Amino acid sequence: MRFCPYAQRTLLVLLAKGIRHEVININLKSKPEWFFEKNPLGLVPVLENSRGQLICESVITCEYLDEVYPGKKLLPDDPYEKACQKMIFELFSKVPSLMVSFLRLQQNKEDCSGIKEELNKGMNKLEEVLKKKKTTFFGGNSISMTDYFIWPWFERLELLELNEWAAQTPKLQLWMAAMKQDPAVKALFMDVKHFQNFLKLYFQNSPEACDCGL
Amino acid sequence: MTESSKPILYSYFRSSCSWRVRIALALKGINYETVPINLIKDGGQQFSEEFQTLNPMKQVPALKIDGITIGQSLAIIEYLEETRPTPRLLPQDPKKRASVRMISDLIAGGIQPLQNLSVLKQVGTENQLSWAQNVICSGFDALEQILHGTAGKFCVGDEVSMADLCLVPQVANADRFKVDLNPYPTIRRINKTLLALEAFQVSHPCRQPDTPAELRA
Repeated sequence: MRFCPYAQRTLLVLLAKGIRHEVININLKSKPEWFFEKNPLGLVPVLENSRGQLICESVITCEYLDEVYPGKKLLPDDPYEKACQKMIFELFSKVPSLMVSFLRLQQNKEDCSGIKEELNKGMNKLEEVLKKKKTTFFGGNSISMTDYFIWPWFERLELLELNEWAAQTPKLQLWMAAMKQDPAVKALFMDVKHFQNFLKLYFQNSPEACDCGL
Repeated sequence: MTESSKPILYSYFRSSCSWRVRIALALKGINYETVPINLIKDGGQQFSEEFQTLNPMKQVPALKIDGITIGQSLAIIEYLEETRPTPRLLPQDPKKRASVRMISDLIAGGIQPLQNLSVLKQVGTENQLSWAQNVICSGFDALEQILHGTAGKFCVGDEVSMADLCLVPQVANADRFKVDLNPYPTIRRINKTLLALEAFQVSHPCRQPDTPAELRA
């Protein structure tokens, strides 16, 4: 689905590794029957390989792609470096649900200050990581898996202007600027108007939501 | 002369030499059309006048690309490497590159031609199996030893190279001729690692346009 941040992870990795692929978008507000054969949970993304094997869960699809396609490696081989990437990912792990909560509260015109507070705390933790590492990206000086895993939410937080934390996180700002230079990231930029329309229709459960901008 | 936009690969599903090129094309993300050449039907379609004009060696693979036709799998692979450099199939370091070429030549020059269709026809049906097994075992005895010195995750170090493209199809040939692979643990390990890669699966003989229904995956 064109606005799904989880599916965006898989697309980022496909683009970053130069993997030829076909995209089939699923209307999540009107799921076709056949899709449940691909994933009984009816969730995207689902990756289907040349053998017809199906892989679900965005993080798992990305790790799979890094393993079975040679070329640019997005995950480090070194076990400690790999562990560091996963620890950073853990620090980020609350952000997706915070963003969804914010959107729901915003829809109902309720107070979001609690969410914003949580988000600021989370972002400060990530800022500390970058300060300590002294590198541009979370895995070092070139872009790697963790950067792609967390990017889709940063893109959306900016489009939603849910970014009070930006003022206190200069390293994170530099990271975002560097990410925006990456060809894979650039290729998947969402149009702000289409995204806003999508959100509006999505929360209204409209079957038109997923087609915004087409 | 009009250049077709897509390269054309003349291939036989079970030809190990064709499989090498199919892997290279998959690794480099090159879209191509397959023209199947059945090496057995009609007395062998590689002997047709049409195909002979294309490749006087009357063998597959042949690749029509960028306005030229190239035969000989390793020459095709090196052309692809020079014109579509990523991902690399030949290491930058000259010594490692020599190892890759040595292993590739060992297989493509020293094993496969001695057990290919035309040779086996000469050897005769009675002796075919033991002939092929001898040829492959001699080659694999040497290769196993060489790999002790060169192999990391793959044949040479930890990056997929032209040597790996030659290895997997030759192991498939060994399986077909019922060669016991127990004496070759390094060859087996590398083969298994390579078969997990998408490029080696999408190009597999069981998934080609000319794969017979009973052999299809």
